[in-house]
Amino acid sequence: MDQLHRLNEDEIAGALSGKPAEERIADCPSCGEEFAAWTELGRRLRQEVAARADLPAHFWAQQRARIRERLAPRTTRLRWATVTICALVLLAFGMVQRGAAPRGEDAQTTPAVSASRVAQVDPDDALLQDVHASLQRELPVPLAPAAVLVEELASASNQAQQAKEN
Amino acid sequence: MESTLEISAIGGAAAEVTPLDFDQVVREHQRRIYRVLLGLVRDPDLANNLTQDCFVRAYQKRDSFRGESSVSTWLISIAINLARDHGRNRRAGFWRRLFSVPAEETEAALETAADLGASAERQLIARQELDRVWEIVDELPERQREVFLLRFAEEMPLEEIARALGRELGTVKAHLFRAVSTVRKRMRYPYGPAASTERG
Repeated sequence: MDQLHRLNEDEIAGALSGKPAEERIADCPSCGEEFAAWTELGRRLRQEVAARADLPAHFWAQQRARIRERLAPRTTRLRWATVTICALVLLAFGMVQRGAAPRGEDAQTTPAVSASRVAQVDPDDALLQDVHASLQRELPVPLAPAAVLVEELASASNQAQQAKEN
Repeated sequence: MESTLEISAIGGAAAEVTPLDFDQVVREHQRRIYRVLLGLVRDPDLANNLTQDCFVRAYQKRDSFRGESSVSTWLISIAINLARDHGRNRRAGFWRRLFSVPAEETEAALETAADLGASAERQLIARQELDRVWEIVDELPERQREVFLLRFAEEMPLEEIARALGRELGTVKAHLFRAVSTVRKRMRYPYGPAASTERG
């Protein structure tokens, strides 16, 4: 009996897609009321979600940028990682060489040596100059900090050399 | 409306699609995918992250797109799967997140959701009723919730919902039937949700 005065679930589902059960609504005022209630509920749910998703253009642009970033070819990222690692290895090798070579010579002269004096030794200078020249030839962006470091070391070496000569 | 770019970019030579080509697909669908995800997870930050995940996954699996459904439906199916994965772990925090939105956002949503010409009391009742519906929907079984929201919040035809969920049409109808039945019973109003405002 109650079913005669109420929409069934299929009719409600139909109402949600904008297909009112016209005969039922015409014959049954309470059905019409319920149809209106469900239609209104659907409208309010859609409005609420739409209002929360109505975001400024920069949000969408930023979202696209992040997606693009994540879709960047893996090979490109690997290439830069490889170049960076190579640069660090080269730098570490240079520093190890710089630290190891002068010990014998220094031991014969003065026991206490400063960092600037270590840089006076010719093999180190040569190595630094080589590294510097190598970096200057083709300088990828990730190697910029390494180049700066090498330049500073070379500069310190030259200053020490000049100080010694004076 | 599907653009020709989409069809050539996704359906044609999928392997040759570059991120730059795919950017156009993202541009066309990001709002809808975000909206669907927001309805499902009710957390703006999570919806944003899942939207990004959705497009990244779509790009990675673009070879699997055969053009049997629209790009939009295909993307929604990916989004639903992502929301499902996250939802299993995060449903407990649903209401905490929902009510943690800043007051002005809540106010803005209320303004939009409620009839602008209605009285403050009616707006409050409408807000409470809407919150109650969200609460009930959140407690629905996963499939019923998805079908209910896609039907209500996105107005998707049942056939499209079936394709997005990878289910038979009859199954989708059954889920929707049960979801509507549950919402109706739990609202405890004899003539449906909005009628309650009339009956006090």
